[in-house]
Amino acid sequence: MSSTPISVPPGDAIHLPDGMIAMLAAIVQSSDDAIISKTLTGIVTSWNASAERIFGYTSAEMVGQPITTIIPPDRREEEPAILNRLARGERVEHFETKRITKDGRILDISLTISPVLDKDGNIIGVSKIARNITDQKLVQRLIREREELFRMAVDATHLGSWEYNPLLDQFVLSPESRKIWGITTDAPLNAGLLDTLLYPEDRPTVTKMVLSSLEDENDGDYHLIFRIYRQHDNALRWIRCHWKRFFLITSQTKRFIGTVLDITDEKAAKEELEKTVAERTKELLQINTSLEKSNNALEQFAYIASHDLQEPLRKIQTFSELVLENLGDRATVEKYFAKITSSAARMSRLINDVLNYSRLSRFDKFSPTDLNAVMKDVLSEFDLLIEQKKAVIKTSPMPVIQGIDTQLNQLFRNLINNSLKFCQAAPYIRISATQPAFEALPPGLQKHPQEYICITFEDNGIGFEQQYAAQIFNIFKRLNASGHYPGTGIGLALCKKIVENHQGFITAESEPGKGARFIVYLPYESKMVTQV
Amino acid sequence: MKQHFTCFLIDDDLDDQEIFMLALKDLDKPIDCVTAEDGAMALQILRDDPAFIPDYIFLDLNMPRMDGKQCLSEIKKDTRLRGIPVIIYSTSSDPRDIQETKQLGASDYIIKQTSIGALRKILNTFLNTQKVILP
Repeated sequence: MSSTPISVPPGDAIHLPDGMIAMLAAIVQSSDDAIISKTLTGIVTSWNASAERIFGYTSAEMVGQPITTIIPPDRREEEPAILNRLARGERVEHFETKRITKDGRILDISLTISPVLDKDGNIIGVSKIARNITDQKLVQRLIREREELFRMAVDATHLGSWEYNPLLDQFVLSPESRKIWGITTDAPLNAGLLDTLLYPEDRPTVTKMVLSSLEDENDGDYHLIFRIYRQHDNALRWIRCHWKRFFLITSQTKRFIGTVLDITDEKAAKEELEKTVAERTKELLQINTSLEKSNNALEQFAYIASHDLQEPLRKIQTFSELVLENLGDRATVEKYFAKITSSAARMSRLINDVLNYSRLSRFDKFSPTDLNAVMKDVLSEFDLLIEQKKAVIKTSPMPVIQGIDTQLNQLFRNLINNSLKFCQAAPYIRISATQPAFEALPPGLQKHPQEYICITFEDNGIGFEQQYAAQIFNIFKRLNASGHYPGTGIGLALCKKIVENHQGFITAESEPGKGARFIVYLPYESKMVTQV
Repeated sequence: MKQHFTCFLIDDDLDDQEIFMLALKDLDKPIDCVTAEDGAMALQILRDDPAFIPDYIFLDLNMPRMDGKQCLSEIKKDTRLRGIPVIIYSTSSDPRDIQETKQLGASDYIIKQTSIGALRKILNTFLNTQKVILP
């Protein structure tokens, strides 16, 4: 728009060639903008075609009418102010205001107003160019709304945005992006600087994708999750980057815009969740295994019950029958009655042992248990037997462990009892406690991050063949005929169950005639006070 | 038909040995009985005396050291012994035990009875028909 005031000589003596006047008239008529002229008092003197289109009034309707016809009542005071400015010789450019159409619509209008001067420089009128900017205003408002929405989203999600111009090797980062990368300076950012912040292990992946996004010929859309060392505190962070590449139409210059999000916490939460799931799964598997174990034990027990508990019962029935058959023979009757009595006693022992076995629960209360006290208790129970058999028992100091007092008592009692029972000469028993090195632990125990104490029960008794070492811990498994060494075959099964209740391990070593060695591993915390 | 039989009873339970012998004493046909207290001892007896070929082996299952199933396998591995009918004589009535010993080559299976009369009846039938018929 021209900034020179239009100068018109007085009267109608316009010294312009006819062609020029016609051309100016054509320009005015064909302009997209409304071009209106008016007197200083605001009476319209000309009204072009666009003015007709924009405001809905024809030229005939408006020429001679006051311009206030198209000014909304609340904007009427603008007119004198504009006229004042014009009177001072000022021009008014791109003055944004509102005007009203013939059918009452309010339009956003941008006005450029120039005074019309006579040859002496006096203002004789006003020329007004009005542009309808209603649509433009609408678009601007929409853009502002979208921007606001975007900013709200960014604020809520801490999403950073960025742009990259590869020609200039220049990054422009939003404040949130800077925060994510930990960049506190205002220095210009280039690819080289950001590259130094990449986690070395992730650098090849990032470089590869960045290069491919630079080289691709089409508009691309890229996603990548990688680690960076945040600049200001050197913290290792996981970030998720998303970017798009655009070609500018005017040039072949590529331009990238993208977002960046710090997902470290999200990732940590996810990992924590996965860890929890894995732990729960492991727990379930453990429960499952222990259920299977207990099922097997039950099955074994049912089998055994059908066998070992039936055996004395069957004998009682058979010998009773024989007593009846031999009622006249007192000696035979007495002999069979004795067998009936001993079978009944055996039955009773079996039932007691089975009860003991089934009562052993791993849910009993664990408490610090001094194994020295346990041993002292047990040995005092065997006082008489030790004296009778002339047994020698050597012990070493024992630790204090977390355990079930009564069960550990039973464990010591059964093992010492075995050593006293399965012997031909005077028993010599050694009981010692050592803390084995990790490598010396049985493979099954090496899986647990746990210290163990190893308690060895060694004797000089009849021993057994090593091939039976595993079997002897099975319930009712007996290696010796009952006639020679009494017992129900539950003792060592009980020991095994007790040790397992304590998450320990029991094993046995022997050779016939060379004594037996029972080795018990129990969890142990060396920081607990050892009472010697 | 042979009139005098010899059987070999392998059982660790001395009471059961006595009951078995008592039952044999009153059978229709006279029968001698040799005993062993477990599988290992039984194999030793059989191997030490090549002339000892019993007509029947009665074998308990649950025994210390070598149990009945292991002993049965050993007998069936031995060319000289594998022809001897082995009859399992056990407290167990578990179908798995019956099935397993059958597969190992046992001829028959007697579940230990609660009455000596019942045992006598089973043994008589067996000696006559070569079949165990449990009451």
